[in-house]
Amino acid sequence: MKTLRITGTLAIAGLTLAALPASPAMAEDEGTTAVTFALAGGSLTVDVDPAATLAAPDKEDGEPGTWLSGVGSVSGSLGEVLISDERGATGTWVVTAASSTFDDGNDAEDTNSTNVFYYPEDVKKTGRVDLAPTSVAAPGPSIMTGAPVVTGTNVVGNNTARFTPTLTVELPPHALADTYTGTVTTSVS
Amino acid sequence: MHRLLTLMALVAGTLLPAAGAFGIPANAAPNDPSGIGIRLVDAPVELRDNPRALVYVIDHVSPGTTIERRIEVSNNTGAPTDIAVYPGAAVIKDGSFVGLEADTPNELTTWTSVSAPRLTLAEAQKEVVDVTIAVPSDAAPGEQYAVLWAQTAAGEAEGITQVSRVGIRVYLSVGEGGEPAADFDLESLTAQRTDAGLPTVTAVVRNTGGRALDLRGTLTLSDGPGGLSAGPFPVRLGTTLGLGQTAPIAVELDEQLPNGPWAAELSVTSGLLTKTEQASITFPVSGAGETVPLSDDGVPGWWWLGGGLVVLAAFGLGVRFVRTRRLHSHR
Repeated sequence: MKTLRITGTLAIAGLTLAALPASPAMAEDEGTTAVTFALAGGSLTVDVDPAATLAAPDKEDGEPGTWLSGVGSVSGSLGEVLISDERGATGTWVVTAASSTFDDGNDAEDTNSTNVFYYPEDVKKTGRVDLAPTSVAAPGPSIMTGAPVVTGTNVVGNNTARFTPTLTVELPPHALADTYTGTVTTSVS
Repeated sequence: MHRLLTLMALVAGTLLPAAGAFGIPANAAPNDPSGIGIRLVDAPVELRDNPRALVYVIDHVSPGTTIERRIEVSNNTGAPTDIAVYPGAAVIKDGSFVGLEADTPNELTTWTSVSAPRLTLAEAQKEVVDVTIAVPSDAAPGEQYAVLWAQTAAGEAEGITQVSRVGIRVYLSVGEGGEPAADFDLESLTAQRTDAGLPTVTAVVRNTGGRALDLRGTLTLSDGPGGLSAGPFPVRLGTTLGLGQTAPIAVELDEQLPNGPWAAELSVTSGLLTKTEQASITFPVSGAGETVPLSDDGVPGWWWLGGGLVVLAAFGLGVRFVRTRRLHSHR
């Protein structure tokens, strides 16, 4: 009988413990969601260069200046992108890239970029994650409408990914010789 | 000519290398800049066993409910940084959860507000931001998606200005009553070889439930030639599957793998839900092999039929035993 009583007490204590949140952060109010508990995981972070400059084709490669007379594309590196997933969980993440129109600042809008393509290269990882880079290349839709470029799947615990995107900006054949500016947004969630 | 020279000078200018382009090891030291960060500070107790709820805002609420969460935004860029915090619409497309451009709105984002839309954080500083989602009482039922973004403010730069943003996904289901159940089916399995001759297993997963899924999985091969086993191999699949959507699954294997036959076990998980299906497959010499249909629930129909017959037989025997005992006891 004594044994039974002790077991019963332990069982009730266990139930009480199980019902208690680890760290109650918010009380339940009418019309709001229930009690929450504090999460111990770290952050998801992204690091990119604030600015980059594209290079014209090498004048020594036999096609000097052809980009001005019809080839119409300029390529270069955006610098390294670093994704750090310190959430210590199994949540997947997706990096998307989106580009504004590259504009030379003139009123003639038909000289603006026609496409912006994105090639994630030199992809490296640490931790348990499977990385799937996706090149956003011609003739498909360009990143001017936004597109996934690297996905991290089968995540287990903390992981990082590094890659160096190459950007290709296509200009119309009649593009003016000028300074073109644009914004590339790298998002991860 | 002057303009041409300007262009040549600017466009053919030296590339600006990234901070990490000089051979920084893959395992970054803690003090290396990791950019801007975001994390979910708390989650509902009733979802504490759901691994997805630990990294995303996931909830099911009735119209008229207000949800409160806290997020923490951090700056580790190496310099003081202005950060914008805002909700943006998201869609599930081609197996990916994609946050739309800038602060593109949808219904969910119009219900969402943050306590600090603009932050200026010193290096290594963190700030907690309250997020409130007030679902109106006339909200239509269904699941909606958004991202709570932290974004570096765009500076003025010649050439390319790079903006970075990092976010927490929101999967909000609205409707009266309990949460719609998450469910999915693994529909078929095909062993094939790619043009390069690599053995590949493909399958199809269909979201048959009421919530979006974040999928992960493995393929294990056993009972192969000579009793060989192989795997588990990670499954390559889209990360997120919307309601009613299907997505291909692919697993590329080693060229040295014997053709089989193999007992293939495909296991796919989303949150607390795991489906495991088994099939016998043989890799063809080239092209696609036979597509093997998979059962809906992982338990073949003949098993239920056989099990039912066994139960009926046991019941019949039990009744007969009791009757016999009663007859004996009356004598």
